[in-house]
Amino acid sequence: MFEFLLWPFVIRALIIGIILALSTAMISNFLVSNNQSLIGDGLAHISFTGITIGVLLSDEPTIFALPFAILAAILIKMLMRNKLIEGDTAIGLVSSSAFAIGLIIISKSSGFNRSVESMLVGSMFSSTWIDILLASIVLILVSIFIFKSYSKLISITLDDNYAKFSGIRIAFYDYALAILTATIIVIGVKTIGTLLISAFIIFPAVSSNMLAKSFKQMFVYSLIINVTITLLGIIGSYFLEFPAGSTIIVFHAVLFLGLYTFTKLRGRV
Amino acid sequence: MLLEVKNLSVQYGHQVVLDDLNFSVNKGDYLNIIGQNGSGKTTLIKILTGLQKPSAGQITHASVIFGYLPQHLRVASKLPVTVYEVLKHSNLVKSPETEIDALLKLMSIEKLKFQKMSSLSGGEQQRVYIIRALLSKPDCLILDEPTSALDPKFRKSFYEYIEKLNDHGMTIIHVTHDLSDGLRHGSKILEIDQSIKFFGTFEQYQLLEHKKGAHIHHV
Repeated sequence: MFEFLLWPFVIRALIIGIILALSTAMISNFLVSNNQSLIGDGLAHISFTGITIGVLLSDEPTIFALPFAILAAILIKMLMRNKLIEGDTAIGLVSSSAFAIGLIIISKSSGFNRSVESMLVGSMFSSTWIDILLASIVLILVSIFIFKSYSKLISITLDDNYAKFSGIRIAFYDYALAILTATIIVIGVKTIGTLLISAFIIFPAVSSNMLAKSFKQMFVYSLIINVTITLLGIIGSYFLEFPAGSTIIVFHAVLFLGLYTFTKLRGRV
Repeated sequence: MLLEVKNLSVQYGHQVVLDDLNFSVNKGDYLNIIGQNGSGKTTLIKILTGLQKPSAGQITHASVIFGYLPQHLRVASKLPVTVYEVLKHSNLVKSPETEIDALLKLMSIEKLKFQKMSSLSGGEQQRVYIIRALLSKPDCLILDEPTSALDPKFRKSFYEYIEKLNDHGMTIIHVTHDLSDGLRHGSKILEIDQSIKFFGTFEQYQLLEHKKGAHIHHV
C-alpha cells in the first residue's frame, strides 16, 4: 500500500508540502486576523507575471519572480497605508495590472516552454530539490520572524491604535509580513498554483479559529491542520490522479464545511 | 511640571480642529477635558498619546510613562483571544503573570482570565482594558470617555479606584462629555471648543457656571 513512497518525486512532493504548509499556516493566522486574506491572492497573480518574465530570461524563474513580487507587495502596502485607496482595492489594482502584463508577455512570446495551465494549478510532483531548498530557507525566515515578533503581531492584530501608542513600529511589521507573504507565494505558486495558493493561506486560520479557545491554540491548530490536510491531499491526489494543489484545497474546503456545520449545530443546542 | 502644551494647532485643509492650545499638567493633577462632540477632544487625545502629529506647536514632557484607555475598544470579536492573551501581549514591555493576576483580582475578574474576550460583557471588557493601561505602570493615565460601556454600579467603583490612584500620585487626564462623571474637588477643568474656553479648577468652573445660571451635577 505504501509503495508510492518509493517514488522520489512523491517524497519530494511530501517534503515541500510539509514545508509550505508550515510557512503558510504561520502567516495565515496574522493575515486572516488582520483582514488581509486577499493579499495572498493578489500576490499570487503578481507572482504569475514575475515567473513569466523569469521563464523568458532564465531557467530558474523564481529568482526573477521574487524581487518582482516583493516590490509589488511594498507597493500594495504603500497604497493601503496612505489610506487614499481601500485595502482590497489596492490589492485589486496592483495584482490585476501585473497579471494583465503577464498575459500580454505570454501572448507575444514565442517558444514559451512552460504551460500556462501548470502555472495556474501548480505541479507539486515536479518539485525539485532546489525548490525544497528555497522553501526551507523561507520557512526558516518565516519562523524566526513569527517567533521573534509573536507578541507584537498579536498586539497589532488586537488593536493597532493601542499597539502604536505602546511604541510598536506597526509599519515595520506590516511591511515585513507582506514581504514574507510575497516570498512564500512565489515559492508556492510553482507547486500549489497561482489560482490556489491564496486558499492555502486562508483555510488554516479560518478552520483552526473554529476549534480554538485561545490565539495560541489557533496558531498550533492551524499548523496541525495544514500539515495533515496537505499530506492527505498529496497522497489522495496520487491515488485519485488529481492535481495535488487542487486536491489539498478541496480537502481544506471539506474540513472547513464540516467544522462550520458542527459549530453552527453546536451553537443551536 | 509633567506635561506642557504650547501653541498646539491642528488643521485639516482649511478646517481648524484645534486652535493654538496652551496649557500644562502638573504631576498628580486630575485634569478633566470637557467639550461638546466635535470640539476637538478626540484629536487632542490622539496628539497627547502620540497617535497623531499636530499641524503646529509642541508638547514637551519629561520621561513620562503614559497609560491609555481608548474610547472605542477594538475587540477583535472574531478571534479566539483570551483575557490573559490581551494583557500579556498588548504592551511593549511584557508584564509578569503575577502582576496580571493581582490586577485581575483587584478588578474582580480573576475568574475570566482564560475566557475569550468575545464572551465578556461590555463592562468586563472595559475592566480588562483598564488593567492593560495599568500594566504599563504609568505616571499619567489618559482616560478617553472611559465609562461609556460600564454599568452604573461599576461606574461608581471605577471612579473611586481612579481617585485612589490619583491620591497615590498618579496623574489623571480624563476626557468626558458628561459633567457628572469623575468631577472631583481639587481637579482641574479644561474646556475646549477648537480653542480653550476655560482652564482652571473645578471650583472656579462651578462658580462660573453658576454665574451663567447653568447647573452642574457633580459626584
